[in-house]
Amino acid sequence: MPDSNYWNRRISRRRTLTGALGGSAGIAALGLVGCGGGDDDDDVTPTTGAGQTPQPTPTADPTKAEEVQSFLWPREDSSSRATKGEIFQAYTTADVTNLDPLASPSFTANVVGSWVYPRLMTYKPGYRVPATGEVQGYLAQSFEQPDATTVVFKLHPNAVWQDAAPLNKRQIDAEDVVFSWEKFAAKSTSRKDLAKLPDNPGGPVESVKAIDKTTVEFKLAYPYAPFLSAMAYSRYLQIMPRESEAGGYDPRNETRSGGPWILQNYQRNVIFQYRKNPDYWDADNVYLDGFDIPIIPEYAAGMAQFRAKKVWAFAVRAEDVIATKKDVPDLAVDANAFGRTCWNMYFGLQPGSPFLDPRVRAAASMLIDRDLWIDTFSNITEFQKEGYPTDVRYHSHISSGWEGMWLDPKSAAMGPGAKNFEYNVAEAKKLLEAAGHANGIETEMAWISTGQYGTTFPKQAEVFKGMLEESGLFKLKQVNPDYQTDYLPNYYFAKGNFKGIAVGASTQYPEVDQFLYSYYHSKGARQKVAFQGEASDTKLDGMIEAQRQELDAAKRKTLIQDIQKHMAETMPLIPYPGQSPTFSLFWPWIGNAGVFRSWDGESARNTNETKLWFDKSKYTG
Amino acid sequence: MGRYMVQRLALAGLTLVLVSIIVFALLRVVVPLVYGDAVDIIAAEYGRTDPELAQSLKDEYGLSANLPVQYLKWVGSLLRGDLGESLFNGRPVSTEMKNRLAVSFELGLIGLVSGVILSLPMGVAAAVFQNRYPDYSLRAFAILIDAMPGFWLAILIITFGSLWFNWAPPLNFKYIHEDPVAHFKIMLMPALLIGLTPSGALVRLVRTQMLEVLRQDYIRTAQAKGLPARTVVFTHAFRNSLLPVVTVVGLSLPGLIAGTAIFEAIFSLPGMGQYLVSSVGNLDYPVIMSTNIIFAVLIVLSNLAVDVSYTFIDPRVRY
Repeated sequence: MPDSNYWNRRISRRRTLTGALGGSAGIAALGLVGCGGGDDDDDVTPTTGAGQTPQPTPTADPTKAEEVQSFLWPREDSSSRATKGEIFQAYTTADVTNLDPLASPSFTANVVGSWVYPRLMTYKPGYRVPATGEVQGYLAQSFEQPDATTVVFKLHPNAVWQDAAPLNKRQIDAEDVVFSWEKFAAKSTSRKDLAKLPDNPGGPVESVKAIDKTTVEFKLAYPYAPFLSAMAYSRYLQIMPRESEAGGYDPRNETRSGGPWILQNYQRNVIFQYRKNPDYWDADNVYLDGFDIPIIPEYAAGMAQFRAKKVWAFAVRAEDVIATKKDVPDLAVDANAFGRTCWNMYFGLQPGSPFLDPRVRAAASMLIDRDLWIDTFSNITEFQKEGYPTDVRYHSHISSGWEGMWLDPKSAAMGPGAKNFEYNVAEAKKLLEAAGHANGIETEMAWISTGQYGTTFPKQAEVFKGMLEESGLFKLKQVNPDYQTDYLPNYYFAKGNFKGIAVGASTQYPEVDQFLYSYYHSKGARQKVAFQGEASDTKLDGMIEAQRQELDAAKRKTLIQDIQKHMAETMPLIPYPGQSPTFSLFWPWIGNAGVFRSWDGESARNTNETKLWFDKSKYTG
Repeated sequence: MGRYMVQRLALAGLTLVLVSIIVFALLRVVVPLVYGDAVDIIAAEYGRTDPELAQSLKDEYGLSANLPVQYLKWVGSLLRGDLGESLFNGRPVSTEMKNRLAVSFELGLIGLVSGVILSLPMGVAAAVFQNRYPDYSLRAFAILIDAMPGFWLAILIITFGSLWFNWAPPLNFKYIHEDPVAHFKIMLMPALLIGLTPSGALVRLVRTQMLEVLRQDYIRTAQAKGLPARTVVFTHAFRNSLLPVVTVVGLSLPGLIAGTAIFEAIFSLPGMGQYLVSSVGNLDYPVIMSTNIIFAVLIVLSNLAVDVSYTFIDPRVRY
């Protein structure tokens, strides 16, 4: 009978959690939940589905599974019958701090910038299947790498700035690239990820110089494998005109486009309106006339606009997908890809902290019931019951969405550290006893209770706290710091200088190196593993540095998987349990929706948004 | 009256000076002590905690001088009509406020007028039909309105509007000078909802005041003289019950203007509320301080207007 008791207990816990959250979901549907702020990776256009379709679960009702398969979006390439014109009705949940992507303290400026400022490279879209992270030229018509530390870009000769003063269709030239790099290295929040500086000697890019009007040379400090990918990333080097600094215009409040879209109108807290840039060098291949993107912070208000067809696609919460599709059968449904973001629980590392001991960190990890957590927050049971295809993956210390790099913590390949991902209260107790905490640990647990990371985040953090405390091994005092004034400076960027445990979001990077370095290297800008930057795990630092300098893809993959194995054993922080791909809902008149699939959502303005078109034959608005 | 006005204006000036000192002290002394400085937030966003960056940011934003000097500079700028610039986007606060204040004022004013139009007759009817079915229903309605947060009602209307009628409020905001019809369509619903919020309390206040007046001897005299009930109620009773109502209505206008943030978020409107809320989140000092002063001015002026209006409503009141 022990099995029976085990499952009874499990079902009971599941019911408790689902019940608590189900209440919230119901309330959310009625709009009683407050502001639904964006998370760290909020995008200004809704996803139209960017991933592979998960395999149908064997437990689903076959009839229902067939029905779901019948209405899943076919991702038909309709380019041959695409017509031009019409404004796409999108939305966003939050406004931006300012419009200068190279100097804003917030990533939100990069999101706006990605519409108007080109980058040297861009991610190659996946065609009906997920993108792979492969890059292609954008502003750079071609590039070459004469040696391991030199990269030369040849700029597109027809690239010009928007027809507006003071640029008036001036050619985008190499001096603009040099100017943008210098501004990035001096002012960008991400400068330490790329620039070699006196306060960042480990940065990979040493210098940038213009060879001639359309040729620019990047000199690297060492061979840097993800360099071209970094040049495609919208949070790094967006190319701005040098006039933006010389008083030609105020880049914090205005933009000048060199890409496919012009920011024609921006009303703070209200709307962004982008229009097709007639001077974009590939304007003939842009179908839509533009995008209207009103700012709708309230989930219920957004949902109402979506149902009323005033917004064409909407990020419907996982718990609302089934009901919404049933209510509005005409909506298209597409399965998303696995995400590449991995949020985490991280530890205060002040002298004397119990979390300096890896056994304590491993014990905390073992107290997280990952299956239950994923099921609860991804609505898996309900999706399965209704015949929707589901698939579940645990995160290692990188997101399970990093195809080809991710190592499954449940597989033998993870090695001895795999046990730290298993739910095992007895083993956790032993570890804590061995670490000298036989009576458990009493400390603080901090997370923001406001909407910056979405409305589900505080509930997720509460469940983590509940799981840690349920064992009786942790007694945690809940702390809810203010996001801007307390959480960011005193937890997120504090480099371990706080008490207890914190739960928070992490940035999505287009290359796994950037995530590894930023979060796990002792010199990383957002690192959470080395108290005040004093490396406690020099082996990990060395492994991260080695992979970024390895140009052989297969060898690099092995190095990255070794890093995951190492961190599985040392558990420097506890990654979020895992994920199951969600579903996108949208109106079916979005031609080519889901066909050209982005790698980085913020960077797809020139590869994906340009391919969308308005299919009037399906319009019912 | 003239002397009274001079006294009140002097007092208003003193009040505003005190408000400015309190706002400045809270933001520049207390908040940095408790939470941290705006430059710390900006530096943290840059992933840096080095003092050089913090100092350069302070220099850039004019936060290096000692606090009394900063205060005097700020007040001096205010007196010259310069409300400062946002630390985060460099936009002059006055430019932002120009349009936003108009939107918020319009929302507040339409809301107030519609609230008054709704609640005055209801309050009068409840009093006239005291302890009868119309009174019971009107009081129940007033309590219901009072108990329902306006933003909740807004979300219900939007949600069920889309579910049942395929309706959702317009998204693309237009100023009145750009497109008056579109502007009116956008503003009407939130303004009515804003007005509904204080209506419940207003209905009960009007009812109470009317009942008090209706029990006065002069009302009995009027009735004894055989005056029609309508004349008694509207000519003799209603006007005299208005004094406290005018006070409440007048004083609620600044609150309605300042408290529209949630409605602005729900209906995507560019008003003062969202501007202030986002500035507080960023500790954008110039914006917070200037908007607070503007709100303080509005409150002081509303108070003054209410006091002056007494002389028109009640001839016995003389200053």
